[in-house]
Amino acid sequence: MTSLALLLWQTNRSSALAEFEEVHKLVGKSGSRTTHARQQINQAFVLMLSGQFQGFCRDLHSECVDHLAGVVQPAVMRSFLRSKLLDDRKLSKGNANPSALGSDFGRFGLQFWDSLKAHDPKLSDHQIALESMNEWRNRIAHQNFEQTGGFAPLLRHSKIKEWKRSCDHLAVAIDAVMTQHLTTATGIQPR
Amino acid sequence: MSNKADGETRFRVEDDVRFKFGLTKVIGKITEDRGAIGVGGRRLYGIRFQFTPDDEAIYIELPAVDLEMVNETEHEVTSDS
Repeated sequence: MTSLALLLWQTNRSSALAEFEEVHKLVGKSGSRTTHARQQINQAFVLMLSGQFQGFCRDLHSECVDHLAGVVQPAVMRSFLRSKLLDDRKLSKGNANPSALGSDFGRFGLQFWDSLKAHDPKLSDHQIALESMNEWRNRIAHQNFEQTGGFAPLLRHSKIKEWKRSCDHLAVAIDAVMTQHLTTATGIQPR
Repeated sequence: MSNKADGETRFRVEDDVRFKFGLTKVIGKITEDRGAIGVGGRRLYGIRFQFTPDDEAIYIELPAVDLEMVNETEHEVTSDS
């Protein structure tokens, strides 16, 4: 069963990201005059990728809350459960980094990253990639390149594509793990 | 995943709405239309509310079916009381 959040990631959100690929092609590859422009586009691309992935994670979290709150008994407790699961949600105000994901999805009663790695051991590499992408995102957003002497290091387009693939893998895995977890916990498959 | 539920009331950001929170009914303000991402494709709304003006605002997300619009007159009465 695919969540609406995953469908949105694979359609609307991925389409928005694909537009950056088109802009990248328009600027072209050769010539030192375009190097600076390509770097600007790459930096903006990382901000957009990080933001869209955060949006996916927040949507999926909301979807999970709606499913769980809809089946809990007595019904009078449902609004309390909703507010507790949403209270101070890290995905509502910060990056979808591994720590925020573990904290927010962990509220549903699972060891989030352990469950993901049990689902697919290769996800460790994608977890590292996610951490790296968000570190870049923060340096770009805050224009803080202190660690590299004040200069923005070269950000390759191939690296961003690698991060996008990691986000794709993670999105599918998080969707599958949360669907399985909520189905086991409630006896009802999310729909 | 199912399509968006039909016939549900559409609310807008800044609308004041009433809903059940536990055993009591409270009034809150819609802060975000979260889109049709709820169970069965129903639309969810982000809402902030306070039990008293001194309390910290609480955030909750609810489907349209759990919300009632608060009309202007009613809101003024509530504010004055």
